[in-house]
Amino acid sequence: MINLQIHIHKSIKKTFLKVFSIFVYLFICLFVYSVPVSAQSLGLSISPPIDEIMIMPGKEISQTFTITNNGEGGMASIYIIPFRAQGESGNVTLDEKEAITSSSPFASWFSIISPVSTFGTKFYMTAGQSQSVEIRITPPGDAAEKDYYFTLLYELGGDIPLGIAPIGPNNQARIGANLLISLSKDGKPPKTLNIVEFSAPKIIDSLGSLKFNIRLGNYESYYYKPSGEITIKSTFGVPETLKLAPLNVISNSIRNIPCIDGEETITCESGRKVLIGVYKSVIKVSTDEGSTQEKSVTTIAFPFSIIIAIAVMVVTYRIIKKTSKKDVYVLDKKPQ
Amino acid sequence: MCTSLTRNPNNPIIILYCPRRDRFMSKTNYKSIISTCGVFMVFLSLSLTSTLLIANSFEATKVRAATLTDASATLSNPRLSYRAQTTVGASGTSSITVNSAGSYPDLNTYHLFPNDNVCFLNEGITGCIGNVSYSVATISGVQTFSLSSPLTNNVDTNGYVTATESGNISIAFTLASTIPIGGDIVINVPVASTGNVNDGIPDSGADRTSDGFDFNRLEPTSVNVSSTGGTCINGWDTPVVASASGTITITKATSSCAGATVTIVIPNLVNPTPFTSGHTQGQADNYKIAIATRDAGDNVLDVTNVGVAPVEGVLVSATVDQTLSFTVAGVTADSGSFCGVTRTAGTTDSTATSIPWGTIAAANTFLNADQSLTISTNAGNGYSVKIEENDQMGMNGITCTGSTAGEADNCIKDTTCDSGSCSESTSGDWNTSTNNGFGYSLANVAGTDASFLFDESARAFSAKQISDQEASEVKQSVMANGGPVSAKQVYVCYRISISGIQPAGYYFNKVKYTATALF
Repeated sequence: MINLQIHIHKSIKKTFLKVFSIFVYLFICLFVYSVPVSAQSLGLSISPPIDEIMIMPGKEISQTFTITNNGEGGMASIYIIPFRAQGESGNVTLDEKEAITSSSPFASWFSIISPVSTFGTKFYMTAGQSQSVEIRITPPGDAAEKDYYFTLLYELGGDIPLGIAPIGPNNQARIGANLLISLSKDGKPPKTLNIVEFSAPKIIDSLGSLKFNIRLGNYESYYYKPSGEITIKSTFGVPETLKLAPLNVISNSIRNIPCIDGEETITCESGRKVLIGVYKSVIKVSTDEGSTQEKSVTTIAFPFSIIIAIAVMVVTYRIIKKTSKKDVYVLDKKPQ
Repeated sequence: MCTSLTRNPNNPIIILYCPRRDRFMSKTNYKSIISTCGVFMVFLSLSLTSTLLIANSFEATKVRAATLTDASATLSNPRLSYRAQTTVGASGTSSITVNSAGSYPDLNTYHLFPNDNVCFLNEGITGCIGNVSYSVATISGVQTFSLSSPLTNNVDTNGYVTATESGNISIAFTLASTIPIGGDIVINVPVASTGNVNDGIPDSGADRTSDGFDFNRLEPTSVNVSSTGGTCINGWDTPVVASASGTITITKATSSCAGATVTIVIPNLVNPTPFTSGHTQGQADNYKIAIATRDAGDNVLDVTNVGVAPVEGVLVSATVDQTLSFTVAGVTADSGSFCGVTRTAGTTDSTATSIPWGTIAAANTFLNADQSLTISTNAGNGYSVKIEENDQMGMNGITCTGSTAGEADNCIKDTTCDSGSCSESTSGDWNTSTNNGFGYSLANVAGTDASFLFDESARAFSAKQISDQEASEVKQSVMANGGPVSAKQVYVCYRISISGIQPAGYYFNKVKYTATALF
């Protein structure tokens, strides 16, 4: 009896060891024979998305960005590329041929401290990983005092696996943070604002709303943020004020400026419906340091729709009245 | 037996000769002492009485001081000024570090606010270094903050950073006694016991006996005195300011003032920094302002003390980092409408990184595949997503030179749509599969951020080419918004069709999405 118990016990022990060995083998196989799988999503984020820096020529400053891989693990790389304004809405055009490399004109300005030591070098980011990217900016002492604009690009994915020849496009995603670098020795760069356009309809139908187009130009060397408002004064009623959005107008560009309501950018449009009379709208706008610029536009509001509607009603009424008279006449004649 | 040798009986000491002992001895004359003391006491009493009578005759108008009623002092800006010792701050940079230990008014940045104006002082506190003031951009840490413009000089590592808080002190009280012609009001504002108390730089001290307000080059004419009620004929003389003692004297030279409520506004005094000893941040430091009225002979008529209690401002802040997030995801659904095209089990599944058309067996037939793009940003300026391809799809990735390379060049050309004229910037309807090529359309999923739509202009599949970078075409935006957005999503709907004479082979290119913040 005792021998049987010992035998059963040994048998269980053997089985357990076998199962355990299989698990260990499978666990080892998981790492030894695993093959890379395609990423199921490309998710990137960068913080901050815009960085405004003022620095003296010959000085040095370090900036840290945080990048995150919100998708599957993949190879990432960092680039710095000059940009210029595209259009008038704050879009950027990357000058990719001038990407910072050891031979580019701005090579001495930028160096990457972490996570790699050269721009464009690939490094692996696991799924969900956040990584600090530290760059050092050292504009030379003889660099011209003006603005310089760059985008720090974080690129992820898009590598075509070796031995695979796909039919179709292979995707790559990049995300960029803009660097607005103002080089100034005294920290007080001159900023000059130009009102390129401030317009509104000359004549407007009553009960419509007054819409404005605002385009501000910057023909100087430094970007500025406009600060200002539009005041709409009517013949009757209380003046209305619209606040301009303080968006960056970079050097040698023109930008459409919307209005702002709290934190939300909105179309510059009167909140109240116009009635009848003359509406004088005045824009007053300035940079932080500069003098205030002012322009005005006059709009005449007239109830065209209402007059047309009344005219249509009158004509319709007269037609109906005429028709009714004819009917009466016919009826009157009938008994004869 | 002894014999007296002193002849004067009033002499308090009598000298005796005792022959038995053969020596001289002295003896006290008590009678004489008592009589002398009595005379002295009478004389002293008479002297004191006469002195008091004389003194009284000279102070005939003196009255006992009363208390001013309804007295108050109000600070228009009760925030304490800021001063901390600077340890790091180099010319050309904008990051400042302050000392966390020592006997200084502030030992951290808790009492510093974004947009505060600060200036850097040398150890001797002789003025702002370089005569420059700066604006605080962000409070980046307990010991560090950044400026909105770089320093033009190094900070003195034994010096200070200071943020001046100044404001008016309004003092009001109702007179209990009439201020006669020539009488005055005397205000005593606490000032620091050391240093320049009239230079506009906040002063410091261990406690209220050594700390105080700075007079900030106070002009006497800027002190405003007014009175209401009672009888207070005519105005008040221009005050006399003595900054060293913190005293302001306002004389009523031409007429008296009775029963009036007097208000005195002292403008632009610089508030003190926190006590360097025993101060708890968030708890006020208490100061007393003494107010007295006097007659023409500077005798005090009414007197009172009022308290003022400057305290640190409380910065309630939470840092929310600005972020831009962008996600590309494949679409594998076997149902649903994407850019007006119904997906089925046979529709090409995409991944985030590829559009695997697989083997295209049928010529002049559309294949469709979709990807979703999702973007979020809390940046106020908004974002833009652009699309580009490195080249047209080439066999085994060969270069397809120019923007119109086609079958003859072993390339799958970019679509020109049904009209034959759509491009990377101009869309066109593309519904005829014999019009071969590769292109894409867009549909909004969440929001309205798509740059164009598949059904615009009453089209069934409004399409564009992808900007060909080999041909230096301008990259086009597929999504954009001028403000903060949360999870805005579009579908990018790819479409391909090849002719029957397209050379067999593997064709591919690289499509790149670039999301950037607007500047």
